[in-house]
Amino acid sequence: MKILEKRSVGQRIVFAVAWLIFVTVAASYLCIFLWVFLSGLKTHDEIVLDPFGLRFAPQFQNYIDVFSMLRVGRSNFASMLFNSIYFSVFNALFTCLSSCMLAYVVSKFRYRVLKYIHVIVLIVITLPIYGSSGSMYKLYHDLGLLNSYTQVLAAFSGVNSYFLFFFAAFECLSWNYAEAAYIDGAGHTKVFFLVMFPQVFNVFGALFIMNWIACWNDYSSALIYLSKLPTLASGIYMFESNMIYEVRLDILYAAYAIAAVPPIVIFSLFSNMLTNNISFGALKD
Amino acid sequence: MTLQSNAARNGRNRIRSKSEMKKILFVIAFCTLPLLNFLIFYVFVNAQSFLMAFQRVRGNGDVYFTLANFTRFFGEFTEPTSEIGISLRNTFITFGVLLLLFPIGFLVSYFLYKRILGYKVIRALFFLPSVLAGTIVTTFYVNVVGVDGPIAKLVQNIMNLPYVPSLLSDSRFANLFVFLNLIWLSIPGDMIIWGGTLSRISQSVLEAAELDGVGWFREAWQIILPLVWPTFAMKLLLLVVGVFGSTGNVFLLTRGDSGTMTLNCWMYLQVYETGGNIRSNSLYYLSAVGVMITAVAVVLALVVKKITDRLNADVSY
Repeated sequence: MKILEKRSVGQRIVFAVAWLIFVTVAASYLCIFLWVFLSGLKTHDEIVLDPFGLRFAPQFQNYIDVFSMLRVGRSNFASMLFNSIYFSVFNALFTCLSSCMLAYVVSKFRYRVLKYIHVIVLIVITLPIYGSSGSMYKLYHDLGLLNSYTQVLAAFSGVNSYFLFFFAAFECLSWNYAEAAYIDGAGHTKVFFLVMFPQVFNVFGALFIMNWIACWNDYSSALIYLSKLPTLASGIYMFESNMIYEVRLDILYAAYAIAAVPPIVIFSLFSNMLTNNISFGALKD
Repeated sequence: MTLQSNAARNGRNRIRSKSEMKKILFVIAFCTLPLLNFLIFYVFVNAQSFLMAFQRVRGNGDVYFTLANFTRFFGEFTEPTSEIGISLRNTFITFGVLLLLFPIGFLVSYFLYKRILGYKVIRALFFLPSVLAGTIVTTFYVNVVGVDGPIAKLVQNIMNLPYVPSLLSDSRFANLFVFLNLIWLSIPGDMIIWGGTLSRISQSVLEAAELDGVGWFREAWQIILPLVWPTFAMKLLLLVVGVFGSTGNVFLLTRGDSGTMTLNCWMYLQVYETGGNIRSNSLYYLSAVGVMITAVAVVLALVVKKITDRLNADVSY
């Protein structure tokens, strides 16, 4: 309240209007999760007759039935859950690790050729290339990566926007720590993993979580490249699209609610890490 | 003495070259996988895509070189009701909406940075649309604007219609409600980037301004914005060069039906609808459209980069 007292009348009006808008929008976002969770507790008929009705007898059984009734092709809920965990964790880990490693050598080792990598990353990020998804699909097919667990290898690319975050983080780090470790007899690998990497771990963690959430929720690439190994995000979409002969909205919404829990929990636990460690570009002096 | 010092120098050189060799090996080890990946999944893919733009597939599976994809593109492009034409129009409108929302996103982060009442809860809730899957968010929205939801009935009353309109499948309303969905979900903007950038601003600068009686608007416009200009310029550049990728949740909301198609959704559907058939000519036509769009986007990117650089020479990435 002290902050409010400090503000002039004009400022207070502006902040009050902004606050009102923010609260309305925030409440509407909260409704999404509440609605999906509550719909998962209704019967199918209750959802169809009154999708926003609040009078119903909770059907907790829906949340158990999801595990047996949510099926797409040969995949059931458990296999979709496994695929979600596998692809989201490894994709996020490989993407962050490769960007971190590349950014470290580009930032800390003074070879002329490494400077070109920085330039290449900037070009790749700022010059968008459209329409290559057909070619990518063809390549995945030719390499046998379609519907394969080895697809995660494609994530091992350090030339992306994450590189810039890591580059900025390493640029801010003093090289003195590494030199002290070298004097103590440590090798380059040891210096990276035991001295330098722990110091950018917050940035790594924030980017990993951001990427993991995006991978967990990604349905579009999974629909194309993993149609026979559906993740929860793509599997639930396919389940919904295939609901022609037997429509079970109660199961669908219960599945949605379950799939939403892991990212919400992870985000709640690490929200501070996410919001305080990532910045883009420099600040002017 | 000379022999001894030569031997010592040789020894030192050997150690230095050995350690230099280790350093080079370490650098190669750290660069090889990411760069190999980049060569395969970026350079090769885009080079192949460029070639595919000039190719088509015969019924027997033979690939041949032709300009037919480009002829088709220009033929469809000039038709006012073509899918490509509609996609381009909607993409530009979406881009306009995103451009308007860009400063709003910055302001949202600014107000949260200034610790507006309940800012921690608001910030957490503002992250929900990006934490929840797009499928969940759109399912909720589809129900809200669906015939059983409150919005469709409101539209019926306002427009005095004899029936409850299906807002996402009626071409009179579909686009509007796709854009409203985009606006609704884009209000918080990029809070992660803005939050991180604003948190690095020195408090002493702002306290000095406050002591001088600077109001919130001047503080945001004349102090904070110039300080975060490098980030602002970079994000604006990325937004502008990504103009042809601008889209809302079109695939999930309408699948591009009822005149809502955007280029991004169209390109996605070209791959999605092949159903695993890599000999589909759709993939080759997609590459040709991609080449055309990329050519325009590259010119646009260079122009925008020049402008942002001229506005502020100190922009660093």
